[in-house]
Amino acid sequence: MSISNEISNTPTISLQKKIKNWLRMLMPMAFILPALIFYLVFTIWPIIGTFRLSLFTWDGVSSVMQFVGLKNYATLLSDPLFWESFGHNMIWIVAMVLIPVSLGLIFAWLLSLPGIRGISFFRVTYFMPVVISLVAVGIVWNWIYDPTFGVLDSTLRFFGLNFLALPWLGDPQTVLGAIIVAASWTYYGFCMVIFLSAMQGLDPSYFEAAKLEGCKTWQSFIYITIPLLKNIITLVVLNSLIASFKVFDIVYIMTNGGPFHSSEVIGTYMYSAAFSNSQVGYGSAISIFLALVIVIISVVYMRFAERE
Amino acid sequence: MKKTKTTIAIVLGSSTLLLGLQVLGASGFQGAQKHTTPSIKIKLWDQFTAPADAKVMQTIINNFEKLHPNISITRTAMQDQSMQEVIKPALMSGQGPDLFAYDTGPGYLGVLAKDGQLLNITSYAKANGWYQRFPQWILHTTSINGQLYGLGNEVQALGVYYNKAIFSKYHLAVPKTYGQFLHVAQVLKDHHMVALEVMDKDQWPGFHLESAFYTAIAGRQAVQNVIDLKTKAGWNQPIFAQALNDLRQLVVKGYTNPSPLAVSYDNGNNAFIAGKAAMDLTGSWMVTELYQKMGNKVGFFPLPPKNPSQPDIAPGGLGGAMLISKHTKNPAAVESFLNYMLSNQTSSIWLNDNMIPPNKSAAKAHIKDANPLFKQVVNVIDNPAGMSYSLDVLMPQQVNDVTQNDIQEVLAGTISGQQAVADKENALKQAIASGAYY
Amino acid sequence: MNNTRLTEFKFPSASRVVVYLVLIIFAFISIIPIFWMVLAALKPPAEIASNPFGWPTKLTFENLAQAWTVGKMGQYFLNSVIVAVPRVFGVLILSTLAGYAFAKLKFPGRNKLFLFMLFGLMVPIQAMIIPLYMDMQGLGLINTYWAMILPYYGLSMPFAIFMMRAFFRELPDELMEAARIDGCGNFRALLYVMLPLVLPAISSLLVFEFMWSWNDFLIPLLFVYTDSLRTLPLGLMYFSTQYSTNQSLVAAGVAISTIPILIIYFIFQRKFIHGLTAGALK
Repeated sequence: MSISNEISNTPTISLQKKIKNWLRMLMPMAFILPALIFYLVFTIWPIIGTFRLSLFTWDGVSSVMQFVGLKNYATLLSDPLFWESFGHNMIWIVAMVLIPVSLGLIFAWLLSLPGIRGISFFRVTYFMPVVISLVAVGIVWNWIYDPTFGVLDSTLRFFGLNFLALPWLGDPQTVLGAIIVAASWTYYGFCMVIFLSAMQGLDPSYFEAAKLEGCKTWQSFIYITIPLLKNIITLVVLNSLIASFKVFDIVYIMTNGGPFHSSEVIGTYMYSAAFSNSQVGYGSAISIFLALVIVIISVVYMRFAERE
Repeated sequence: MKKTKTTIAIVLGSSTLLLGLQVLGASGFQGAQKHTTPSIKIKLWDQFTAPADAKVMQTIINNFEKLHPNISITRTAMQDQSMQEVIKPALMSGQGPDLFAYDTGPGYLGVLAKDGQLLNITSYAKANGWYQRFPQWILHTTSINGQLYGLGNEVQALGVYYNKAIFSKYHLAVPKTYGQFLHVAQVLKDHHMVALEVMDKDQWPGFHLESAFYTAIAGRQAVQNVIDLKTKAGWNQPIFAQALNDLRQLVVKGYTNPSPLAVSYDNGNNAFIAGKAAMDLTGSWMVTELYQKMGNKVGFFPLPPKNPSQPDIAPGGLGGAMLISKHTKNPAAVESFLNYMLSNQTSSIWLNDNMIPPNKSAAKAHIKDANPLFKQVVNVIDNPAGMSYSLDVLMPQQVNDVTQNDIQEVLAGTISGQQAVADKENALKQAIASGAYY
Repeated sequence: MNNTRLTEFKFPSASRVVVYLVLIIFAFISIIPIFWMVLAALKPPAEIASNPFGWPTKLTFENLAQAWTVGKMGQYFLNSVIVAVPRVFGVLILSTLAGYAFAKLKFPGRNKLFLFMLFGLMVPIQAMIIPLYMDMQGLGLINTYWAMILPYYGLSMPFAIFMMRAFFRELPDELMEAARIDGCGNFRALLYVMLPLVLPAISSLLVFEFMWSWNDFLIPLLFVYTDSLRTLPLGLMYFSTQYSTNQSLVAAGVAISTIPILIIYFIFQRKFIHGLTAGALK
């Protein structure tokens, strides 16, 4: 109705202009549309399906699905194990944003300094832990942490530090930290590669100006490089944050959440609900709730990080 | 700029080449196979990922196909855990297997059977003498309300592997009672040996420790009464608490490696293989690997009973079961294959691969050429007194969830055996109330 | 040598030693676990049990050969390539276009739509695997190569677009204006002005996508049943029995299957960066 009114009230020339304006505004959409279509079909649609499942009690195979509304969400809010896992994810986030992201940033910077030889060697070396299949990561880190023959405890004992030679993966106090170290090992190379790509594109004139003003190398890192990489740092930090909320594989492989839930994270908890315990509805509710939490945190972070 | 262009050209060129390859292989994009001769096609998903086991399965398939030229069977192998992820959507979509390997117990087979995904094979089993061919407990494990929904395919026993070289070095004999077992452990400890390697980082080995200790300390009858719901107290009885406390005592007394919760299953077995521990409590599935790596240095005995009047038996269970999908288009052909797969004539093929088919006493008849370790294991399974129960495949998943964490806590000493059995009984009561155990 | 590598900076030799020390220590930390893995692949299986870290008494290529045949790596390798190539290039094209639009073009609802595109990153794949299965089933794609390729044109988008957007945002807006003045449309501005400048990002994304495709386990496991379509990571299953893992074979199999990723990384990190920086800034 309103459209036809508008048309009758405006002269034809300005209508054409309007259409043209509209087209110019919508043209950018053409760049997004192909990705958007695939994204809707292969990601959003399944997520809607997950949300739908979260409203049911379902064992994953029965033809009968019992609609329970938001009951799964209510269960979740009063599930102590869920909140314990949630707390572990929080620790995970802090550690993953601090350790591998800063290591990645520092190495990318060091490797773009002048006069450092063997750059290709270091790049490939730091990236290797990223590409190794997690199955092998699990095996090797299990050797490293083994209390009897593990290289970590053997080394500590060799230096007489027997009190430090702990059962790393078997002690509720140390298990989460031990897995985080292994996970960081597989992740800082990833951060480094992204930061390196960004540093390749930095305009050298900034640094020349800084040099003229008597800046030290490390000062130019803090005052020039980091501000210039603002967008990339946002990317890596937010990605680490989201990945820490979703973490599953490495915990599953290393401890399966044990001993007695002390390394349980939401990912493993959700997995055992959906796949071992045949509570597909509850597992879906965990994921949807988790996604909402991540959305809120991400939006807040993006607002903060991308404010002009 | 020129360099960039050449690189782009190389990349594009090579990707075009690969895309070309892909078009050549385009038939794969249809995902269809074009064998036309046999009129009946059966899809089999089994758990035989290891090459030796896969070979056995393929041999049996080939033999069957020779007998029935109109049937062709294609097998896909995947691990237990993968099967758990795949099977439900696959069955529902109708693209799943006709015959597949799956875990027994209420949380797995039970769920599928209750939801009508499995073919009821009771009448076929009766008509083909399965109730004579297999021991009663085997068929009982895969039955619900007297109806048969699958067939256990491998019998597994839990027991103690021991290093014969270490035993003879300290003049130790195979213990016949739990008291003797403790004596052996004490002697080994006095010589600064790890007597028993306990590895429960992966959580599931805890189930096996629990079953072995319930059998040895509380005895089979006590266990069976709970399984059959014949006692009011259920798991929450002093005798089961005692069993778990005895397990904890092994750690306290220093008979085990110092931190069982930090040791993975593979690493624990490696420690035993390397001679760093004298005994290793696990299942008969380790025969092949241990014999291959240790030769005649390794032997096997059931964890001996605390009460000498109890029989010296081992907990036994099924490694898994073969189930037939309700959606199969050729139920008769699939049933006849399953019948053949575990017929008495294929027993020797399984036994040659150190796997024990569920057929009654088939084992004894065929093990003359087997290695000595496997013979010992078969003797344990063929014990006239029978076998006890491996609990994780019988209990519902809610109970197992509680148990796997509580056994870790017992090993760590953070809860008592009393607490653990009370928790377990609570979980079982809840499972019964929600209809997950019957 | 290289313009962008801050050539003009003074770099005292004392701190250079410190830098090398840090670099070498972390190179050591990065590589030593992998070195143990490779060593495990090269030692007789029995020695893993007694001595997982030490030098083997004798080197053997038995494990590698066995992993190759047991893991059906010859057969699965080609499938992995067939899946990786269209997956990687599809994702690169789709995300470059969209990332560019989100960063440099102005249109109503841009930020909201971007957040919507990010949402997919926030739900774990395990949680949406059952609905996704139904989706693929409805499209009739189960048990085809496409089942391992097409889902990622959606699932990979959040990260890929996010990354491309961040890199396009790094480029000054003046470049767009200059391109406009030269009479370039949005697409020509992307192709001739922006694209050469984000090639390092694209090459990194290529490496990541290739790596994720190469190591992908869950979707090939769930969406493809026929042995002839399976990809490399599924071969790892053949190294385990119900309860235990043959660590020698896993080590060998992983060592073999990792090499292509490292080659891709090596090629794209080196060549693109050098070519780019030499060209674009002159």
